[in-house]
Amino acid sequence: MGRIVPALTARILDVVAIERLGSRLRPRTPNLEALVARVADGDRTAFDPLYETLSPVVRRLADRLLPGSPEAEDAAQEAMTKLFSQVSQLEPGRSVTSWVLAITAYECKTLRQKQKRRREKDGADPLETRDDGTPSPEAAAMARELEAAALDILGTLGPIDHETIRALMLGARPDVPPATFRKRLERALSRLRTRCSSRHDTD
Amino acid sequence: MTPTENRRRARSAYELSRARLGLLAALPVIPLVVVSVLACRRPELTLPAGAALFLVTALLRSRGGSYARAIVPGFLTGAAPLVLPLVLRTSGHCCIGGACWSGCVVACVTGGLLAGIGAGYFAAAEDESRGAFLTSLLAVAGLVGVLGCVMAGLVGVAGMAIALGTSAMGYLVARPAQ
Repeated sequence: MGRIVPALTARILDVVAIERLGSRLRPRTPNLEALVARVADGDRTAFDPLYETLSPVVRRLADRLLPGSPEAEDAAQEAMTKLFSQVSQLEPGRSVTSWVLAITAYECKTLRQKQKRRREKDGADPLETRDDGTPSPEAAAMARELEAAALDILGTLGPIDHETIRALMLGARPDVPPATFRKRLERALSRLRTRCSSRHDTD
Repeated sequence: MTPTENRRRARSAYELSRARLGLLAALPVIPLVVVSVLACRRPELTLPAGAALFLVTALLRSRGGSYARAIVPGFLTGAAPLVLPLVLRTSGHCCIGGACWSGCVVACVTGGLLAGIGAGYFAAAEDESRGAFLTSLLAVAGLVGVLGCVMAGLVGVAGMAIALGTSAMGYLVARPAQ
């Protein structure tokens, strides 16, 4: 499935993974906002508790978004560095969960693009594939889990949205003008994100 | 990279961003120093005081909490001993022989008294870490005041500082909390 339109598939799977991680982050850390506010105000005693809270979540999301890649740790570390360098400028009232997930996802996306460029330059990516070219067991298992979650949420969309996303993922455009198809796709992805957010109770 | 190194790297990034915030917050000190040098013609006193004010402001903003909250009230209250001697000088009231000298000292002491009352007012409204807040506020207000009082020499600066501390404490004793 992902081989036909890998970018779109990756985008859908990212949305699902991010929303699922966000839903786990909130109930486990009810004082996250307070911790972030204290660190943003310069309270150094809150640094370690906040680091302990964020580190596993960021690492888990990086592992999800870069399955089977040893560089997930680098992406997580980059995200943690960026989070702590920006925490003092975090706008009051902004969702902390969304902020954490957005920065982590951005770092993973940047690393994934680098991997993709390297793969295009060198051939198959050795990090995600075995010697025979098939995905590693960890990468395959994570991809299956995320695909299942993505398909589950896709099933809750209306027939037009579902058909639009499905058509693009399968590489078979429906018989509509390109502009109409683009608009339908934008709306479908927007609704997909909303469904993910409402299902996992994130902003 | 070990977890300890990761944490240290995140901490460094955090401290660096705090330092950057501090430097940005201290930038308004530069025009004040320029005005003071041009108006008072005492760069040997103004420049060290300006450098100290820049450093203190940056450190307080970088430290955060009550220390950082004291910066704006510090500049506001310090405006009295900064402006009063400058106004008296430009209006020609304190630049003729001994009368000039006395007028500037009086302006500095009066400015210090007003700044101290303002500092006490702001400190009384501070709920937490009042000591740290008041100390930071007095440091900023005092250094801002020095930029105006340098034209009266060390006597004017000392008079302003004593008046500032005394009136702030007096206000807090009279009205301990708001």
